[in-house]
Amino acid sequence: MCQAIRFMKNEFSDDILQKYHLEVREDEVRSYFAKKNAYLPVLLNGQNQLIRWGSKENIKIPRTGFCKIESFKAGKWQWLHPTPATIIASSALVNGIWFQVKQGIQGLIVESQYGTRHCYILTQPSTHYFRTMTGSERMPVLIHQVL
Amino acid sequence: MNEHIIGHIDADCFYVSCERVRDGRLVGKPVGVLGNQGACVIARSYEMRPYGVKVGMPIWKAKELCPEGIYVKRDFQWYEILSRQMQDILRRFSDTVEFYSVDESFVDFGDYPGDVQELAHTIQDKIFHEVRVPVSVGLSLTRTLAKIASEKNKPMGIQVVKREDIRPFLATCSPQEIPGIGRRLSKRIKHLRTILDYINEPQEKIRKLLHKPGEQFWYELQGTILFPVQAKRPERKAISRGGSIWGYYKDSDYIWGFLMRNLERLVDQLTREDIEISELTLLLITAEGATFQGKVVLPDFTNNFSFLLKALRQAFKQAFRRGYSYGYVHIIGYPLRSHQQKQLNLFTDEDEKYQQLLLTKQQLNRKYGRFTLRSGATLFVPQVFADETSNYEICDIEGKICF
Repeated sequence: MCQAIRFMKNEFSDDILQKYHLEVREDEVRSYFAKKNAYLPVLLNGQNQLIRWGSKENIKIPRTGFCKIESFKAGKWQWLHPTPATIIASSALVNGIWFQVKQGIQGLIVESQYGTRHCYILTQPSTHYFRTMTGSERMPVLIHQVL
Repeated sequence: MNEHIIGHIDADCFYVSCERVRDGRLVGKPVGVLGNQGACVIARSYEMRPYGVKVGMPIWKAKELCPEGIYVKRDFQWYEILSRQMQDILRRFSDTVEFYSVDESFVDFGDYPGDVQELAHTIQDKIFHEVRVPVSVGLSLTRTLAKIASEKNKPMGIQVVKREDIRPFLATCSPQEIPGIGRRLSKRIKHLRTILDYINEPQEKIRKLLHKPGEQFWYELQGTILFPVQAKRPERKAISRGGSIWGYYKDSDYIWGFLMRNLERLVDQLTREDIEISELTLLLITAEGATFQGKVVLPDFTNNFSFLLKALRQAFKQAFRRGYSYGYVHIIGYPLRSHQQKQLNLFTDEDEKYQQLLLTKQQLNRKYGRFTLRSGATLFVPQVFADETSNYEICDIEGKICF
């Protein structure tokens, strides 16, 4: 699945980017899910915010960075009261291929019992094009973009 | 004395530039545009070239060579919009504009009275400021010289080759830069170091080595026009639709679904151009590269969907052989005739109700988008229709001379 995302540096102030120790390269910022402190840039209530990418800790929320749209539709996430959000990525990395993200990726935000917020990337079965391009069976749900 | 000027306007990494028009975040980054199925790179930015990524390279190889590259899905409909905008700008300078390909145009400026260098700059600036696509401009006495000139200083290059500049300019060009002399033919002139050496050869010798095309270039390269700019596309002899069927399949229903899609595309084009065909050929190409053919001669010229459907069924029966995996299909219509030349026939078996239905289908698709209403047989290939950008392919861009 999606291993990393890139987003534009100018979406956040330099202070915030330094505070979260994100990898800044020229005009872009990168966030890798495998890293200990992975964050996603999220547009929530009209504001850009950096929110933890899923969870890797032993707290009472799913230990993953992704949410299958099938399980979300089946109501399996309902007990978490997820809030939809737009992940403002400019590109995303799947199986070594960075692909363009036009408007954003669909995300879900849930709150842990400690009040921390976590963002999960919503995924769907890959289209023929995406499967050929990346070899991946699943792809992120893209906003107003068909791949 | 004013000289007759022909221009070649060539967009720089056109598909990538088009993507950058609507997504400025791609500017300055290594970008590759992927083809119809996301398997191959069909265009790459100048930033990606130093990594060794080539056009036609499979994505798995490109990602190894350029792991930082950003890959973008092709959108030919968008590329056509920008291409037409570029054409419109060029028509402000001359009425004789040749839509050579989606990213290349030739313009005949006639005996241009002004400063030719300034003309090249004006064209480049206007296109860049109005369309945001960078172009290279070559201006010279013939289209062959103009094309070589535009290729010389890419990207955003300008090269003017006047009569007195021809020989010194050609002394800097290798014979491989002559457009239309392929790799095979260029082997015959490998003893020539520059194009100047080429034109210094006696005409008879060039004709002997490269036949008529080589001789024609010999004249063009010296400033004699043999290939005029064609403002109107010359009449075609055949029309075809087809291509990959997105993998290799043995299932006749799946292949028929793809054939229906291509028949609908063919009829769409015939109707738009108001032309008819009298012979339909179907080619089925297997995974091993074998080609099976079916051919049906129609009783009369037609662009009627129902008649062509019957003919395609017959052709499919002839061509399809069980047990083979097929990867490509092509439907070819030949010869072409204008619908205006149709003679009235008292014994026509056209069903009026069915014709009305087809007309309604056309109108609906024009209003709500291509393939909104389509044949039920295409239900065997739902993935093709799940993506609207697949409905529009490079050959659907009308009027261009070259593929």
